[in-house]
Amino acid sequence: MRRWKPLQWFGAFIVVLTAAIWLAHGGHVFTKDRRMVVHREADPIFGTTRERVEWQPDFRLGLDIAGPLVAVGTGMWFLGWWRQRRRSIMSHTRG
Amino acid sequence: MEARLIGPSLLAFLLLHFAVSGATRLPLPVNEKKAVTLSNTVGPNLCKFLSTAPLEEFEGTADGVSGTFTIDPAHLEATAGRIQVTVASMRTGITRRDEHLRSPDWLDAEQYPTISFDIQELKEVRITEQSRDRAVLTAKAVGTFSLHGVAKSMEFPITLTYVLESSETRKRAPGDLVMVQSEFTISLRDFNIRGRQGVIGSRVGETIRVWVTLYGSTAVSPSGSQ
Repeated sequence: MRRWKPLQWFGAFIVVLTAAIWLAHGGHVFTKDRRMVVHREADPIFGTTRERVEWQPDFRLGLDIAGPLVAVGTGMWFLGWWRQRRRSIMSHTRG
Repeated sequence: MEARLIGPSLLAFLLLHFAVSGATRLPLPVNEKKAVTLSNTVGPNLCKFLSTAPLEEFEGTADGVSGTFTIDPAHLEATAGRIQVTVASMRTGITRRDEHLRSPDWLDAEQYPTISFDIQELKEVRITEQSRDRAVLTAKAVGTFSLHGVAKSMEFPITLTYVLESSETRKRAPGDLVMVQSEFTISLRDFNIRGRQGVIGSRVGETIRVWVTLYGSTAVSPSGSQ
């Protein structure tokens, strides 16, 4: 019984942590590894704004990774709950 | 012919000539044809693109832009040249997606390493702004757009700014400076880009919005040196 309880908690922890990171990273569908940074400056010669773009390394967790992680966490939680319940029923039957 | 008829006849001839030839002059003191070479020393040459699909909207860039074109100040419609973008310089924010973009399923960078536009002429040229040293015009660039091995005749709206060489412009690059901006949409289907089954229309838009900004000079080589 003691072995399944931590598994259940660990599963729930994975689900909550993954969902929190995914939401904090903007709730993207696909994981991004670079961010577009646009530098704008006035261009007096042409009378417009000049744009320079650079891509900076920036990890943003997407649903493509977060989804399977949440599924695994949910599975662990469910397995822990189910095994605990089964043992509880069996111990009742024996008693 | 009587002398009093010469003036009106000459005027009528000149009006007819310009109406038929449709030549628009650059309203700046430039007398000869100018070859403009794109150069990042004048400004960052850049293509930005946007894909909008139900599952995702993403922006990308391509900075491997090069090319030359010739401007005839007496006949702006006769502008011609070639602009090209390397597929390998395209970025979208996901390294794996960039690799997919270059793969045979998508743009096939190995077989078709560049996207090009061969400018044949300008039409509907309108001078929208002019001063002592700068002129801005809008037009439609007519030419052949080649992508993924498919060449298609297309017209793109452009805004061209021509700046005469001065002490201020020389700080950036020698020669007269030119900036061209354009915004247009291309359909992936038109260029036989099919991608992986079911991706176009769900994760990648069927049409791609493109913004182009080009900077060039009449006196620099493509690498940016004088």
